[in-house]
Amino acid sequence: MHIASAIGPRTQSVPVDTVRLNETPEGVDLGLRVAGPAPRALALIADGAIRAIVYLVLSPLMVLSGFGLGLSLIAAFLLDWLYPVAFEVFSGATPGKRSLGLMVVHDDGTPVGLPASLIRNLLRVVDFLPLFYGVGLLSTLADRDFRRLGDLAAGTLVVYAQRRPRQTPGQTGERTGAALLDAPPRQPPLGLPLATQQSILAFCERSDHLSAPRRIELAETLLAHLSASPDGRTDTRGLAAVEQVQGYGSWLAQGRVGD
Amino acid sequence: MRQGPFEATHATEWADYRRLLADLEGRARRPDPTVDRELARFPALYRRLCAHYALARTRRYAPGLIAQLHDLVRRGYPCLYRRRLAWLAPTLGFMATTFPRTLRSHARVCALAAALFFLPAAFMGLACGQDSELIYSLMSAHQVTELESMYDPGAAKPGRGADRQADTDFQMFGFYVMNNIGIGFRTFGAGLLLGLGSVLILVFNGLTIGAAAGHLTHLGFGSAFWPFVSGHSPFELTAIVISGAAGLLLGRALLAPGHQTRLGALRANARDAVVLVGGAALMLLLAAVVEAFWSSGGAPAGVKYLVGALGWVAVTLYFALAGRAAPGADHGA
Amino acid sequence: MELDRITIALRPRGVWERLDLGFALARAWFPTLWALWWLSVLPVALLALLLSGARADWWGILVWWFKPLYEAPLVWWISRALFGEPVPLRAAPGMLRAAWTRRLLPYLLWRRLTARRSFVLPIGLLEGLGGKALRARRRLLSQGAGAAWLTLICYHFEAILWGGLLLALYYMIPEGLPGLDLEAALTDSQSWPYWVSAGCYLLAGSVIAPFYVCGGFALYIGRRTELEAWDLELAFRRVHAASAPAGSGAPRPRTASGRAAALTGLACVAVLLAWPGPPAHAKAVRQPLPEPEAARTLITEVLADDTFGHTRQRSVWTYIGEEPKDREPSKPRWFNALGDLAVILGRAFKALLAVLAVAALALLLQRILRDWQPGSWRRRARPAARPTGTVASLDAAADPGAADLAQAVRARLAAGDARGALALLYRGGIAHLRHRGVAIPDGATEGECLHLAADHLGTTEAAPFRQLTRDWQALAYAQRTPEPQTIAARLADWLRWTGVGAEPEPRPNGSRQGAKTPRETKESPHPTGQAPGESSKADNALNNLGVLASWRENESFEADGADKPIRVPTATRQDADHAG
Repeated sequence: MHIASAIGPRTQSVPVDTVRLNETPEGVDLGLRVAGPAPRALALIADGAIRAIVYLVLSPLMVLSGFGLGLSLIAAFLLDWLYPVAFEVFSGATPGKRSLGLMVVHDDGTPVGLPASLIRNLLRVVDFLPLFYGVGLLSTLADRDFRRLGDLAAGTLVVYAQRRPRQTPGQTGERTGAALLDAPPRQPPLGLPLATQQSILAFCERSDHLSAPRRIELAETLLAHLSASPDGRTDTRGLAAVEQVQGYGSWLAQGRVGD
Repeated sequence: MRQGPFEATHATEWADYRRLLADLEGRARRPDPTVDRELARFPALYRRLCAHYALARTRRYAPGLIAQLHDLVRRGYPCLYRRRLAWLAPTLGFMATTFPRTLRSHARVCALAAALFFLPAAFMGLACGQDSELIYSLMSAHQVTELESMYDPGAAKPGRGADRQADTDFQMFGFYVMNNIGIGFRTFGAGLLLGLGSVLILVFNGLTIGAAAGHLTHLGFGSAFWPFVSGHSPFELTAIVISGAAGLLLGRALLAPGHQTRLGALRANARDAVVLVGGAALMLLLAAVVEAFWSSGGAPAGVKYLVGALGWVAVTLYFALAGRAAPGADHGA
Repeated sequence: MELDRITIALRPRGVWERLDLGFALARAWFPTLWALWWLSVLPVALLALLLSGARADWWGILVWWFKPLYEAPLVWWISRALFGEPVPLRAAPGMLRAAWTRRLLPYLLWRRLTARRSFVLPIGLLEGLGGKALRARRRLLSQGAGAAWLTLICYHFEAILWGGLLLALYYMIPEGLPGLDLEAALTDSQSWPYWVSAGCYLLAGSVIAPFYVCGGFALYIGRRTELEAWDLELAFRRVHAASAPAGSGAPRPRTASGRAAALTGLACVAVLLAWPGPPAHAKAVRQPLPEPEAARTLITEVLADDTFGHTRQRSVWTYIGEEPKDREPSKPRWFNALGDLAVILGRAFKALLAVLAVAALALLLQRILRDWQPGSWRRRARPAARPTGTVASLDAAADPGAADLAQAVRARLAAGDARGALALLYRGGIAHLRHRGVAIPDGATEGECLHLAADHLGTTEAAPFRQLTRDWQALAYAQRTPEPQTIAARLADWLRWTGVGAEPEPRPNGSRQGAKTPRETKESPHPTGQAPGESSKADNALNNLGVLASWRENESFEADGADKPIRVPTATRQDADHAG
């Protein structure tokens, strides 16, 4: 079986999403979560502030008359043109982008290289027109992957860097949530579609973050819809319903071994 | 296989992978020699992680597990497919081979850019040489006075006494770097406006430079002007022309993409154009060094002319011959 | 409404990603949303023209103030389109009637200036709550929603587009025509440029509004997904349909919605979600009640403190201003020293830069000369064992490389390593193809290699390689290990093939082309490069290939596991990079 073909079934019309799938040479799809104009604008402002601070810090150089002036001119040049390039090539993102969890990659997901970074940053000249990135804004709004003109020419994307897992993934058991392991396994109804199975597992994983009444409500909803009667009434209610669904999850995750 | 046993079976592998990954990601700061030997395992582990991720997706394991595996795979991907960074050798190779070759492969665009720059310059130079009023159509009176005072051979240069010379020179170096390379970059970037921006900047710069030269010569200030500009002009003027050519390449991709889509043509041309801009920027850096430390120096005019002529010869030879390898020899990209 | 026709990918997301999803939605639906916005603006704008007595400034303020009026229809439309029921624009009058209800009133009056407008609009308009319940609900959902950011950002986007439009107009009006007076456009409400400016603002607003509304809507959905696992509820509600024909795995989505379809009207989303009432939810994020009081007393305590006396320090501040007078005499000395330092540094840097420039030029010249004149300068060390025609000019029996490979293959066969033997043989086949001048690009698959071979050599000539490839593919992808006799037969074929088929004239450039591929730069893959009889060397070489590494790894692959797709062996990119 080819793994690339084993991606979950898609609904009739592809739903709108901000994830771009990119197949790696190993045949798996890596999702790149492209970042839109709002976080990018904030990152830009953060970078602007950082540059302004650097200017301020360098301003005492002026004391060194001509030499100092020369140095600060060179610094101005570097900050203007090469600040983003240097940061992008060495660490994937400028400090401003980093603070918002963004990074720049080639459109195949590999870290951005010098040529692409140069292209996208030198073309800021055009994106900046006519006023504070007006052209760039229109381009990001119009493009499916939120790319400005520089990104289009360079073949780059601004994406969210990897998400830090909420729990430290030292222990695998920890991550999947206590509910998956604690609840005594119960066999779910036969013929449960894979998508539903996955929703049940997701419910177990996320139930810690839900309020207790909501948890009960969700569990009751599921059980009601699982029961064959079209009216959707079940006997199991309240906490028992939650336990039952978590039991399903436990069964789905580890089989009967828990017994 | 259910999720629980699946996780249990592969937990050790994932732990190993995580450890190697952490080392690879933190590599820039402190390489750990003990892990070095193990790193050979990384590609294999990475491929296994890919397989596990795909399996987890196929079997619809819990989304949290899938997300975690996806995260691991995605962090590994750039570690495996990273381009190695090195500076001196690639830069030298770039200037010795890639840049002149790319330039020659776009000779027609470069010729067009040169024409757009030098023809207006020559025209304006000749015209201003005849008519001392013409320069005011381009510059304000204030600018003209400033220009004249700068190259007045009679006037002692303020702030350029022997003791402060080095100081001022460095200031000028900074100025040239910021101003000239900035102009080069802008000339390139403006090419995205259907090439019009580059054309305008090229023509306007040509007109201005021609006007200044013609006007100063007409005033009899040529003895100060020409020796000063002779040293760095071979690098500076050609570099500006090349930046303009890079901008024209972008414009051409948008106006006449040929058999590609506009976006495809833009990307293809931008890849070459950025080579040109990079080369031009390095040339402008050289020009800034020459302009700040040699052109302003006190060498006799004859020597300066000679250096200027040598510069033109060197640039011509460089563009014509550098990077022409023996037939069949392949030096890679 | 059909639950399974939801048009966005629901899952927990961060705040910024929710915004991005909203922007992506707005982009997907832009034409309709834009038209709908204009449809609702036009009547209001005309009315405002009458009310304001054709004064541009009042007109602008009125049109701006009633923004929620144009955003409500968008919210209404989105709530339908989200479930795959986009209402056509023809129905615009009906939509306006449905959207402009009493519920909108607060947003036109005292709630007009809230910073979370587009986020709270869906709560107010769609959930059908009122009074206390609505307020509690709004408070609960708003926490950490990032809605104020959205408003702030979109406000600036609007301003940027508006300013950009004005500026572009200003620059584009040719000389000779009456130019746009930018100052008047911003300040003089009696002038015609002011009207132009107001029009530009309206245009900019029309572009941003869909993004603003969709962004707010996506934040709202994201918040519900986070708090209430709304996505799970949708998934659970779909279960019923999918599992109703119990046992059969085939989902029949449409039946699901029969019941749900009955629920229409503005409150559709809310009804679907079976809104359970605020107490259930508030519990999750409820604050302890006495805290505000405690805070109030704390605040009064803080206010009673003597903290405010510090403002008087300003007078002290002017005193310090006098001190420089004392320093003034010393300043020139200090300044002179700095000046001297500057000159020294300037000299040093000047020398440094000059030396660097000269060194760089010298290095460049050396590099150019080295690359340009082959043979004259120190040549780059080429891999010593290039296939330089030895195989081509000799027959198989006399070819040490071929014999060596055959020996290695036999050794592996004898050791029972059929996989290794076939791998080695296949490598030998590829090497022979290269040698015959078939240029095999990076990362070519086995099939592509076969195609290239057939194109270049002809089908009959490439037949042994075809068989070899088949065997190899069966082994690599289907885990079907061939019999040792088969491999031995392939080896014999291969020896015959390389022996008989070799062209007498060597192709010096053919091998060069190969030098670009990472596989060859990595080590000397051609078997001729190995010392005779050392099968361990062959082993090493193969191990380095990475090809084999992946195959070997495959062998130990999880028993119940699916197979892995293997593309052939592209070695890592950095090698390719360093080929030059």
